[in-house]
Amino acid sequence: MTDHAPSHSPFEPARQARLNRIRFFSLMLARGCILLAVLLTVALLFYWFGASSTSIAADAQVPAGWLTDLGFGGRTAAFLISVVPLACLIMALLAARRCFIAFAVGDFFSLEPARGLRDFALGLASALLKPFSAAALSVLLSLDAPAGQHRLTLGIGSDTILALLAAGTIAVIAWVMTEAAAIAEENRQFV
Amino acid sequence: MPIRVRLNVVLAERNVKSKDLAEHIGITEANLSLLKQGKVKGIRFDTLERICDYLGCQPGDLLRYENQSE
Repeated sequence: MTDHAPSHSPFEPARQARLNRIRFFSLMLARGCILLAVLLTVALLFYWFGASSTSIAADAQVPAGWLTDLGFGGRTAAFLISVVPLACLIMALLAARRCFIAFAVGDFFSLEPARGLRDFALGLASALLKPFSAAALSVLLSLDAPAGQHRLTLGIGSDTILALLAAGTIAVIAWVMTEAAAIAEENRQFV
Repeated sequence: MPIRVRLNVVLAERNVKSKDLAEHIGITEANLSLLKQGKVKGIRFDTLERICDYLGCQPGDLLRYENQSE
């Protein structure tokens, strides 16, 4: 909601200070979202195309000998598998940015930030893809393993559970904000 | 709606321009026009207070209940 208060009842200084603080932090967070999206993409690119096979093998907890032939094709395939959950996360960050931009211009209670929050929650819920991505990676990185030692790793970590919990919480907040937007719209019809 | 806004009538009786009243209340002329036409969901007490103050009237002079079943 933009500043719809009648001009004869200007926001009291404390409230104005609070609003300014919300706008400032929202602007910073909006910039942070973009920065994080770029950094994560660059980091992933750097990891798959810049890191040594030994490092990748150590991270994947596989013998280094299995990855001696990890060439450009293998690295590209690994990147494409890893980028799926990252792409969802980046979509979530962009949705969060839309929400923060709306807050930064004082548009607190309208459908735009509520939709941004909802999409952010959906993006976070894509954490469910991470175990599948990890499973596909484990298969890819053990392709050159001796017969009988190929791997298919499946697992759900506490970070996935926490991400889902955060997604659920934010989705509920987004629904509440949609209701708040309806109330704000009604309030705008009071003079 | 059975509540009718008589602001137009009171303004005419006192020969006051909408623009002057809007300025005194601190709302836009567009919002005052909506109020005069009864096209608002409600009126805040402080808005009502300022209208009464400027026009020297009572809230009851501005609003009238008209029972539609009568």
